Amino acid sequence: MKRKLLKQIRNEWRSNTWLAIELLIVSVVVWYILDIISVQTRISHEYMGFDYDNCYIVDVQYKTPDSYGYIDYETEEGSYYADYTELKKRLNNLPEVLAVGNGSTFPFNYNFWGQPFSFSVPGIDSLLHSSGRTNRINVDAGYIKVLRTTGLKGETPEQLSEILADGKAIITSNMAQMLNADIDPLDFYNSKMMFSNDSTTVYQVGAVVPAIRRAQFEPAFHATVLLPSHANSNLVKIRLKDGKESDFFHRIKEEINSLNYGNAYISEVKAISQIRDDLHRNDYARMRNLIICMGFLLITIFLGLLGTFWFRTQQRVHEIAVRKVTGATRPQIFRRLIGEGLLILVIVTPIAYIIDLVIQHYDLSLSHQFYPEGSVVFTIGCVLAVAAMIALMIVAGIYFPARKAMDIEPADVLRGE
Amino acid sequence: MKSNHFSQVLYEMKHQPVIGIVTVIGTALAIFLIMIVVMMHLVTIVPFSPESNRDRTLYGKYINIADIEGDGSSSASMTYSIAKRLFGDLESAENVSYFTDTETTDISVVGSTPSIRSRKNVDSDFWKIFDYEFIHGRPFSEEEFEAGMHVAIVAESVAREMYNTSDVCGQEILVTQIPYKIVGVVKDASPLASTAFSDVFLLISANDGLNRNWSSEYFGPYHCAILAGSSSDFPKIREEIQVRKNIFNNELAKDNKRYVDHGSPFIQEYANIQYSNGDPDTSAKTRRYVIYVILLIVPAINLSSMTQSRLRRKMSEIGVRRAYGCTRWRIIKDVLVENFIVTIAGGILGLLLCLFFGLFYSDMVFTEFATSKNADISLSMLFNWQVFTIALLFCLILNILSSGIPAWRASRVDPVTAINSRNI
Repeated sequence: MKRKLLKQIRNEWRSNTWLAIELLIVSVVVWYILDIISVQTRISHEYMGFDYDNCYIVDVQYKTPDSYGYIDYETEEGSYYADYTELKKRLNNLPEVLAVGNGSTFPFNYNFWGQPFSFSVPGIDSLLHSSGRTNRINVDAGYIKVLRTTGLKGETPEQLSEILADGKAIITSNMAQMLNADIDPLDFYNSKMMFSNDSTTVYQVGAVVPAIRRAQFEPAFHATVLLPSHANSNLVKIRLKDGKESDFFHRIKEEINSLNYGNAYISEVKAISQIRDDLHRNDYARMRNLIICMGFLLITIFLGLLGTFWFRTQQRVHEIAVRKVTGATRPQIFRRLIGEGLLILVIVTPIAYIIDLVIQHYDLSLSHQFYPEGSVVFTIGCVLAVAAMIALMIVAGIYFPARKAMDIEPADVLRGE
Repeated sequence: MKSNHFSQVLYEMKHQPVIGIVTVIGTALAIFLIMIVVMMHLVTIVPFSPESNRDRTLYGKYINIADIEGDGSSSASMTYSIAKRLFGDLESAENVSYFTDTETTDISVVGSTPSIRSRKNVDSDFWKIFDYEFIHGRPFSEEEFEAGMHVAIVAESVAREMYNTSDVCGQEILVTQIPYKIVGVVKDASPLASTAFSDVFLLISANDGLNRNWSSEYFGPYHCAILAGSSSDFPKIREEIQVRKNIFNNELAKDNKRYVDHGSPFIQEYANIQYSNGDPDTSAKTRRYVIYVILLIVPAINLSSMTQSRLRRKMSEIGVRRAYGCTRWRIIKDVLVENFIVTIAGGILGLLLCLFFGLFYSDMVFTEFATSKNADISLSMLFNWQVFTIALLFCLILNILSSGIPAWRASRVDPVTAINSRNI
């Protein structure tokens, strides 16, 4: 059977060579697309280091002397910070609000405030210095409660919040990589930490938390240090109680005048999930475009095979009739036609795999860049997935001509012979 | 193209409907996707209101000041004085305007909840370069600019949101709680107008005045647009600017610094992909060409395979024609023309599909430009002679790729073999 198939492929070598070239190009391109989609999907499903469901950001702005209703602190008592603190307190008093906090940055933005740090870890004599800049976030005690970060030793957000309130620092579990040291993340507990350029300010590490990522499609590149501070950025973070989010926007609009205080006023309220979507609008579009492109190439294969095999069955109508007369069953004829397409795919797939490996060798694939340790296995998985998808298109494309071939009545076709 | 070419194509379509449909759909899909990629690029460069002068405008957005010796380098948009010094009052230019980036801000009327909209600070010449359509009121005047008055021009949607009517001239609007008097209402622009788009316009001379800088003598919030009489004036404008750059560089050299222009000011195409501290990023252009090649080659192989099969059935006919003295070139021409008719049919279908998606699913197609409002596309923005020519060109390439080799092989067939209907 196989020998006959090969002979058949050889007889149609010209058109089959074109088909093989097409399958090869599509295999490589679809593999490349699948590699990007798989890696991006994998990264996006990794733990962010916090939980942002039910969380909002309230943008607090301040009036200036030109503003309507400005309070002049030179003639009246007060300060911007006092106004901010009161507004934050009022937000906290809203019945649907569970926690209010602030930090020098907010989730889902590419802000990076980097500094090198040095660590004195119990049991290690020398001071460890970070090889690059560590992301520094100044946070108040409420920040952790809003984003529900938990510690590696099982500390609750409330316990972590108390650690911050005690003036201790919190670091992320990937700090050892920044220090180029083989240290268990748990060993960082109670270590001393200082700025590399200022050894006078020393923080005790009160807890270690999982790596915190900046964005959904970005792996945790940098270790992060959360330093206790009276953070007063314009963007106040709040967490609502479960089930209270549905009418929150409506309610805050109603309450806005009773929440604003002094020169501080609420300019905007945005769900963190909305901020995530805004940040990743282009990433989502890119993923969608890649999927459309992949779909287009697969449909092209389907159409190409449909057209080519439609002709072939028309040309081979006599041959098929003779085979039927000599006892070939309908499934046998079907298998012969499908087998021709699949065999070309089997021949092409290893060549496509070699090309994929060359692309990886030059570090042009995402899997090799982000997961080098498992990229070969990952590539084989992707190549097989691509081959399966193309096989499906081959079966679908040849199905209609093959059915037509199976329905041939030998008596009608061979009447003239 | 003769009528018998059409008859031939119709005959084939009638007798091979599946192949005809597959060929047309395959071509339509290819042209559809290619034209979507083309349009995504074209909307960033073709002129449309309020950026109808894109083809005769140069943009100076950033300056890059680097150390002559050493690696130090800083870059950002400019202070008003630096922008004016490098690009202002050019003899070869019709007009120059200075403006800030579009940013989001809270707007409201007294007692209302703030709404987040986009804001841009501009000068009085902005309206001479960017042709916003005024529904009510007027552009900023020279006197208002000189006096740094608190006046605003708003988009119609903002006027309706704040006052439930478009005629709001003379009314007050609070931008970051600062009151401004509305002097004009313009028709909403599409966010695809990447330079001119905004919901609210204020004067750059209001509030802090024109001397806003970022603790630097060079860097501030300003960009500029230079309007030429026509694009043929660009070299003269660049020459004028070069003289100023040289003077500027001589002054900077005293502080061991130099101005790196990276080719600024840029034409529209490069203004969008310009970095503050590097040359314009042209990698998107390369990516686009790779996409075109893939989207053309894969369907071309398919279509070529089908053309080849179709010609096999016509071998006897080709043989007879050759035997009666038909030239090889004539055979090639006929195959190409017949195939081109089918390609054009598929191409028109693909282009119509592309226009349909561009118009009705614009947010999806033009996601990267979308802001809080939708992309707001009009047919005139999507369809022009350029789009039509490009679509025709791609059809031609697809046709040559898909039928070139089969046509050439058909023309070389030996008439005796062909009449015997042996395989070629």
